Amino acid sequence: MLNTYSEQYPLVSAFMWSTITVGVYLLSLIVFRLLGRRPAFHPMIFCIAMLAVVLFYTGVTVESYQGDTSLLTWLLGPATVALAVPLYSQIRSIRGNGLGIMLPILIGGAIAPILALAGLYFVPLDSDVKLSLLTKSITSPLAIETSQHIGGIPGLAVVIVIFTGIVGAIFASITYRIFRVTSPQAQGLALGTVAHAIGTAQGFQMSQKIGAFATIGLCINGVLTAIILPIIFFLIS
Amino acid sequence: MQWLKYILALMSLVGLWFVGLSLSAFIPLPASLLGLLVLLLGLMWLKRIPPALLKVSQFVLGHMLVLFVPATMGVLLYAEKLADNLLWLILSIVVSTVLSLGITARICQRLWQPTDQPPATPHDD
Repeated sequence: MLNTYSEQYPLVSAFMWSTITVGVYLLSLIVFRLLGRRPAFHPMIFCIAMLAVVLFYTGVTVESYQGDTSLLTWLLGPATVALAVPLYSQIRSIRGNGLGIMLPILIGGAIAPILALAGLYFVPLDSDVKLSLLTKSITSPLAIETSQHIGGIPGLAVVIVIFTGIVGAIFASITYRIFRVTSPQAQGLALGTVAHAIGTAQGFQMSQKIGAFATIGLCINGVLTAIILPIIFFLIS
Repeated sequence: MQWLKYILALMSLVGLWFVGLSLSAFIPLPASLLGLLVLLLGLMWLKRIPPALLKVSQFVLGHMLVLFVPATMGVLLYAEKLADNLLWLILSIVVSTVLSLGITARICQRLWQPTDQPPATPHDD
């Protein structure tokens, strides 16, 4: 029923589904706060579950939902541009610590996809699924384009990127306790490198400084992966 | 008047994305990344962050998650394709993410300690 509605009034349904998405997001933020802001109850989990239920009961397909909310997805672009602001606020420490920033990002950016692939070495998954894992640590606007280049499935790559981000956000504090990481620079840089924009959002929840360093990791790893991965694939094939 | 400045800051982010988009015709990098670099260069040239831009970017980045929601719903599209090996896929992503998070942070902390916090705690290693 709603599907035909969507065809007849595309603007109305685009507005409606964008509003529903924002509404469900706000609701999951409230739930997250009510449950005591525990990382395990990451707002994205509740948000996805709730929207899945809504889509199921309204009979709207995921494709048409994604079409109706394409404005929200498009806004990721301008939002990514905004990352220049926290990046600029840390520019002095970036200049003074070239090695301390570049080396961890290079290592983290390399081991994250390699470890994920290694874990699936004996699992019979299609190769395009496995290739979609290679972009798991970079932010989704970059992952879509890079995944296309290397023969992954862009839509799946984005899902894996977001899942990685949520996992990073959920496990960050406990991982840092186990690995005894106390410096905010290291906490932030690793979060941004491994868990991209969702990790960075978590970083800003922890502190402005952690968030700023997460931004550094996010940007540099994103650029490096977007440049290096297609080159490696070009050389192999 | 204040909210007018906020709108202007918001519009400039959108405008810079379009600048990035037109640049991506010449430089093979994603539009959002090029826009980011242009803004970064602009801020370095200005040598300060306009207060309205700071407020707006903090708001946008604080709620960036909502913009990921539509793409995430794509998980339902691949549920069937992945169903047989879903557990392995999840396990592999969780383990690799946690390990790389820990290792990356550990390396970074070690490299930063000499310059940033001179008296390293002896029992930490």
